[in-house]
Amino acid sequence: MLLDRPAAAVDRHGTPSDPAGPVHRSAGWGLDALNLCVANIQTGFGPFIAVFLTSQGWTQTAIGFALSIGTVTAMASQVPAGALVDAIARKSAVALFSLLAFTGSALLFAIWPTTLSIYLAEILHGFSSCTLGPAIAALSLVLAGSSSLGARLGRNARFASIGNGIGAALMGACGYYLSERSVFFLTAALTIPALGSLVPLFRYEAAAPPAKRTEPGASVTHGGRFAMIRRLLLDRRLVVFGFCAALFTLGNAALLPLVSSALTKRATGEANLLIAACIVLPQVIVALLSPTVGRIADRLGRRTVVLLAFLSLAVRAFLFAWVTEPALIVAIQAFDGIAGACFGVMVPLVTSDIAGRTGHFNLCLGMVGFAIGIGATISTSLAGWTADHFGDVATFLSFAAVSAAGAILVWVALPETRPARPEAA
Amino acid sequence: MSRLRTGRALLVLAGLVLSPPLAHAGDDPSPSPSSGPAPDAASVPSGQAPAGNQATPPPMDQPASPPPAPSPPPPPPAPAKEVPQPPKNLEPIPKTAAISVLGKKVHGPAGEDMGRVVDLLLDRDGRLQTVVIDFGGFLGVGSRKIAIDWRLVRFVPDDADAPIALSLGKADVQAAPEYKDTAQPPVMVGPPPSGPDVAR
Repeated sequence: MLLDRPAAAVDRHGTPSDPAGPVHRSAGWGLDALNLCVANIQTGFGPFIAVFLTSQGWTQTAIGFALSIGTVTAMASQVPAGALVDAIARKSAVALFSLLAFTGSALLFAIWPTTLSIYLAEILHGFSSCTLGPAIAALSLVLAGSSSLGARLGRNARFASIGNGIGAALMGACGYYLSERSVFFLTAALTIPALGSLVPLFRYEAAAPPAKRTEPGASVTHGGRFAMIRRLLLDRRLVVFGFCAALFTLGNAALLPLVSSALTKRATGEANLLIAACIVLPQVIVALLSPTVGRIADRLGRRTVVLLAFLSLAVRAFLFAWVTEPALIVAIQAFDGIAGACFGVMVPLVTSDIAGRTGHFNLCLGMVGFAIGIGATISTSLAGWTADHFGDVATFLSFAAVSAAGAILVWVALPETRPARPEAA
Repeated sequence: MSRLRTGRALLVLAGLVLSPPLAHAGDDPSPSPSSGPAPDAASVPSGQAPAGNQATPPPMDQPASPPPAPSPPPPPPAPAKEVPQPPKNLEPIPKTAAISVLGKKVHGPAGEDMGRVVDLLLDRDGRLQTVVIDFGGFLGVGSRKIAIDWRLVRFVPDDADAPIALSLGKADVQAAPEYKDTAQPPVMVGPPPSGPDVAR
């Protein structure tokens, strides 16, 4: 791996920066820390918002509306945000502004939970999530070069899941012992270390300014550029992978809420602790597996890993349909870890394979993110509907069927996207 | 609370912006807005409009021609009347006489956390019938709404943070189905049928 990296580094940055130099190394640590902190922060913006607004006396209808503002914003901004990130050379600056938006959003929640400010906070958070994710992926690409991107993304996922675990623990404790509101103060406070982690990344980007992109289309006219974007977005691999991403999320998103609520019905002791275990165990597995997944993807190819993601998702949903023993349910969550590790690494990796050096990596990532958003939205409503009409078992089985369909789609239609070993440049 | 206020303020604003005539109809007693032949009212010069009422677009105010304007109303007190006046008959709510419950914590018999109040259901006579609580979960994952018969509620007016307590514990409600108003029919946890298993 180290052998191809210098070449990539020269190409990408125009500067023959020593990839093992101190600036590069501390930038790597900065990126680790950034992934950890961001995941940490995002925990507070999850389903917990509904709990918080309930405690503020909001009606369920109003909460649903506020949350859907966030969802719609995120959906609508995926693609434009991707294009925006592509257009801005300094990815660490994008990350900086996104993090500041997170801080603002968390503070709005904590300090001033009135209708308008909550809406504003939802919009801020929805949009900045769409810029932060691509910014991190782009920084990874800049840092690692495309040949060892898999390993880098594995590392990202590892630190992100550690961050998720820590976030869940910290915020769970905060919400339990202090107040719902304190969770958002904690969230805002956690953006400070995240900003700190940007410092080495800033330095790195300053030392190795992203040079003119070397792709053939760089100097063409606008017409040529749009044609290229069109060709890229209609690339069969991207379309198929977008479908895969949507199917995966469709089969995945509602499983945890569904099984947790089943768990609270059956558990005899502390159901909350079991749910916490259901959340944390997969994170531990992701942290352990992700780097391996990244390497497998670089060695055996992306198709294998995507297929593995769908298969473990299908197994998980299928088992949930039959298993009722709480301890076993927690154990089954290990499959969530496997699927999560595989998929989490594959989304940016496959996208980067497809976008190549066209300079539209983040735009493509935005498209995939949009597909994921659609999958997530359908997932929750589908789960609610099938559970109402056909019961939990049928719901889990239909989710297993969705992931099996995804696996078939991968098998039949998803081409291998791993670039040929000696990079065809 | 403040949400509600903001919401209402917005509504009022929207009302002012979108439909000035209607907004005025409220505080200006004399003219009967919609009764006249509205369509051609637009063509009528609006000489009759109450003097002080400059901001009101003329058309809707007066029926086309005949009945000699229902005698100029006592000119309403100048421009400030854009703002709806608060009702005259305001009564104070003694602090201890009314207690807000939405979003408040709910405790069980042993003081355990039973979630928060998310809704109250009334019967057709307006009496409280059911309280809906958001129960369980971790950081919002796995919580669900459970409806509970109001007869199982103990009222603790002195505890402003948790004015409602249940005579049921976690074990009694955790297996209850989720309350959904889409379910046919929705169910609530009733008082124990003086039977065996709900002893605790």
